[in-house]
Amino acid sequence: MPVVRIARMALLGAVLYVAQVALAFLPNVELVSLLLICYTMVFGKDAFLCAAVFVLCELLQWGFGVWWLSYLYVWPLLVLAALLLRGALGEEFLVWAVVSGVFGLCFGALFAVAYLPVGPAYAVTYWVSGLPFDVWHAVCNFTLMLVLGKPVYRLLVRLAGI
Amino acid sequence: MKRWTKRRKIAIVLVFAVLVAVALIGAWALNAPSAQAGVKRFTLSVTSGRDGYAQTVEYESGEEYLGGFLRTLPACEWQEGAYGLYVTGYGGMGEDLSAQYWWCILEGGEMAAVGADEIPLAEGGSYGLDLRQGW
Repeated sequence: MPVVRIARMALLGAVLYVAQVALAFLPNVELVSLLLICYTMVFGKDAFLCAAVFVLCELLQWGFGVWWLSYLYVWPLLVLAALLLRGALGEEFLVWAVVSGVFGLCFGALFAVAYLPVGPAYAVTYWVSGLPFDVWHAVCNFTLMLVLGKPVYRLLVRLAGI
Repeated sequence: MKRWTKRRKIAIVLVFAVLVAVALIGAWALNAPSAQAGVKRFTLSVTSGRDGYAQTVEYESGEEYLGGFLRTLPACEWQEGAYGLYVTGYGGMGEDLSAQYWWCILEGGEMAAVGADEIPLAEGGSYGLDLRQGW
């Protein structure tokens, strides 16, 4: 793999981490979904590497917990979904906003899957009690993609050309 | 992308709006706690492996929620957090976040998925505080 490509993916992964930490004080308001979708639109499957860097940074900062197991599949799943949809959706950012919103809505349910070994009842309770936050997550993801999706995408396209 | 007509995009956004609305109504309906009025008899177990402490005591309280009861318990140390009552210690056994020690709230022997202020006290219920290490 070319060095430039490796460095680019590492830096974009670090940007994900910084974006997450910067907005950590706002519950379920995050730029990670938006950025990962845009990374996938521009860099394709390389976005998996960005997600891996991000997940590793989270582990280094917060240490191991069940939540981290969820991170191992939740973010790559978003990249996979974006990869599958990017041919059909192109640059339709209103539709991408819906995709990002639906991901926000499903986030708690996906997250809760890692808690199934703790106990199915606990996993369901965890998901249900977090549903109001999932709704908020969906609305925020939708709005952020609608407002920032196009400019971030354009910026990344320019970066890809360097 | 001619396939994405204005009508189609509006339809997709409408479907999304309906999904969000349904989730919001579901969240409200499923999370409305049903508290019992009157005095309830229940047990509270406090365990700390770090301090070699384990005790279960039966209490009676007219409080509707566990959080309200814990506020009245002299041994319980707590503070108001973003999600209501947050237990910081019990009987001098404090949390130690630098070593990842924190007080876990139990309901029916299992880790509660909601905060103490959202756990209704029930007659015959069993609740607990367990000092755990690690996130």
